[in-house]
Amino acid sequence: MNPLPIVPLDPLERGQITVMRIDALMMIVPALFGACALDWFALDRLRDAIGFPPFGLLPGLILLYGLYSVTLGAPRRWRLWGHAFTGGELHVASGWLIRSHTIVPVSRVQHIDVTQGPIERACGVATLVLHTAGTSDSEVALPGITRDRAEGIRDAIRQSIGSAA
Amino acid sequence: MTDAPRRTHPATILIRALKDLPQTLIGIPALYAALSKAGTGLVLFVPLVMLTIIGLIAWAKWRAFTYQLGDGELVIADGLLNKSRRSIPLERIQDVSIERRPLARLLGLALVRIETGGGDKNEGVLDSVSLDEAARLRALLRRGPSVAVRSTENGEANPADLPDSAPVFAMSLRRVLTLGLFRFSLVWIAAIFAGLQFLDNFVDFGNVNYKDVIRQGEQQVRQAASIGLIIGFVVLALLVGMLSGVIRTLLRQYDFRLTAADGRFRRVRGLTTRTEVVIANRRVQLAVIRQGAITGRLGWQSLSFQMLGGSDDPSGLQDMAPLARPAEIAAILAVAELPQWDEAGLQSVAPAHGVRAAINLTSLPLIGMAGLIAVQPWCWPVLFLLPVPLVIGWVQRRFHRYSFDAGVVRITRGAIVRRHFILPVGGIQTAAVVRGPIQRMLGLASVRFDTAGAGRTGGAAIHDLTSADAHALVSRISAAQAAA
Repeated sequence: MNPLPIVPLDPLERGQITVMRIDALMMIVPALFGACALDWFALDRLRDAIGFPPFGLLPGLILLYGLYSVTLGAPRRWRLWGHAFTGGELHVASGWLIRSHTIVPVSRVQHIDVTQGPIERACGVATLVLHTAGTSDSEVALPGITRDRAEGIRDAIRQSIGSAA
Repeated sequence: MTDAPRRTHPATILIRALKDLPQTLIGIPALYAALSKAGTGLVLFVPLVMLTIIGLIAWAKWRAFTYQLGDGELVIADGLLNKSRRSIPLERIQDVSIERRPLARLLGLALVRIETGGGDKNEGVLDSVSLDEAARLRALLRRGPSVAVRSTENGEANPADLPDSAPVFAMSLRRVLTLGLFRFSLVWIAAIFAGLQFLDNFVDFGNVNYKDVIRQGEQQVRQAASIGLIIGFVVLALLVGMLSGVIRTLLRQYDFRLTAADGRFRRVRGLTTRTEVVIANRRVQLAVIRQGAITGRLGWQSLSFQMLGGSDDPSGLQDMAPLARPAEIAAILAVAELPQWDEAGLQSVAPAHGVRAAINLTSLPLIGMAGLIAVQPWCWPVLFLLPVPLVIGWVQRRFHRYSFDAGVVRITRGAIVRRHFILPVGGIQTAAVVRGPIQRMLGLASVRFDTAGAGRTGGAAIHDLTSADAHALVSRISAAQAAA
């Protein structure tokens, strides 16, 4: 059930899918190691007592989930994101279980960050972070847009703030 | 005027390295123990290598951090791998403060902290520039109040400046005691029992061990099974709870006095310690009127202001009138130049709000009941309790209403404890339309308003509007924010 959007939203750059894949990989590998270690060293007692979980089940499950997350999950997650800059506000939509559409008015922006990690740079995307005076949503981050676009939005916001002063 | 990018003072590397040194030194004895077999040469070599690496990283970080006074903005570039450029428009800079820690003072350096609106985070920190540079930056960057609406002005809040005029609101002793009666607290009973438990290890009350006395008493209670005795104990517990509530309130709220002058309130209260707080009108983000379960029925309300914090000002929810009549609260709101609470124009949220509340309230109990019945089938009458959450859900829906009118969002929520939120559009930072899985199924959405100084309990939100209503509301609010 997709309601009418508040404003039409654009997807992120495709390079962001690769970033998401690599992020998933970076989370799964240590988890896999941990699970193997757990399975090998700690779960023996449990296995002797109740015969469950069998050897290799836990790492196997994590491996399966990891494979899904990196191959099919990343494009799915990518599709959940949307953004739009109307000149007066920045809209950022995201979330899988809880979908949220955040609207940051330009007049409320206190300062602006444009960040790029090494992986992001390799994939040609950057993250724009708008800071407001709020509490729970005081930092609204928009990953996966090109650096030029991020800087364009930043300059447009700065213009607005400057002209309003 | 665009400056060239500058770096912080090189001596910062030394300061950082020295700060991190204790952590590395701790590792050395362990390292020594581990390597003692490998010979003294290695033991000296490894820490040296570590120190060099730490030094190199500190140098690289220093090199990567630059700041630049650009065209109407201050740009701070940072990061080795994660490169970030932070742009702070000059119009948003509220204050520039200079900190001098002992080590920095020795080297003639200072830490410059740049504050924008919403004052209590690290917006811009220049770790250790020379004192001259710090003074120069401060002169250049410190301007006047910012543009942000419902201002973030850093008003100098010196309580002594405000004249002691007739109070806008004051609480008589009788009212403080009334408030105390409602601040019932069983905490002290738990504390007393904990204390007795502790003493038990050390004190023997004469020939008679009081524990035996209690045990005998318990036996007698069980044997006699006297309802009267049990009721007696309960009444005693209630009395102690009430007394502790009264005493705590008396200590905290005695002679509560609210005076106003010059766009600022001054609140004084307390019995043994008189606390004084200055609350500036311009820093008020929203007002909350609360009606307690019992106090509400008796016609009492309480008023709090949510404040934007700053280096000198309080942040979070500030008590303006802990126990007051609606007319008194209206008077305070008028002095604060805030909109009044108005029941007219409030509209209900979607009917499905009741459905969702019911789902949320029944799911866990249902699971619990199912488990219980599976184990003890004779418990099945407990299912008769199921309608209770459904009724609560329906009631919650009836009591959750909102309006957006003339630049003010008003929200009321709660059936037993009612809260009225008065939120001028100027206090809204970001708005978010949020939909959880059940809400998506039912075609609902919640609107969450982020405000400054909200604290853990969260700010104002409207739950379970229809999606269309949510979008319409948010569009109207965006328009109002743009026009303001």
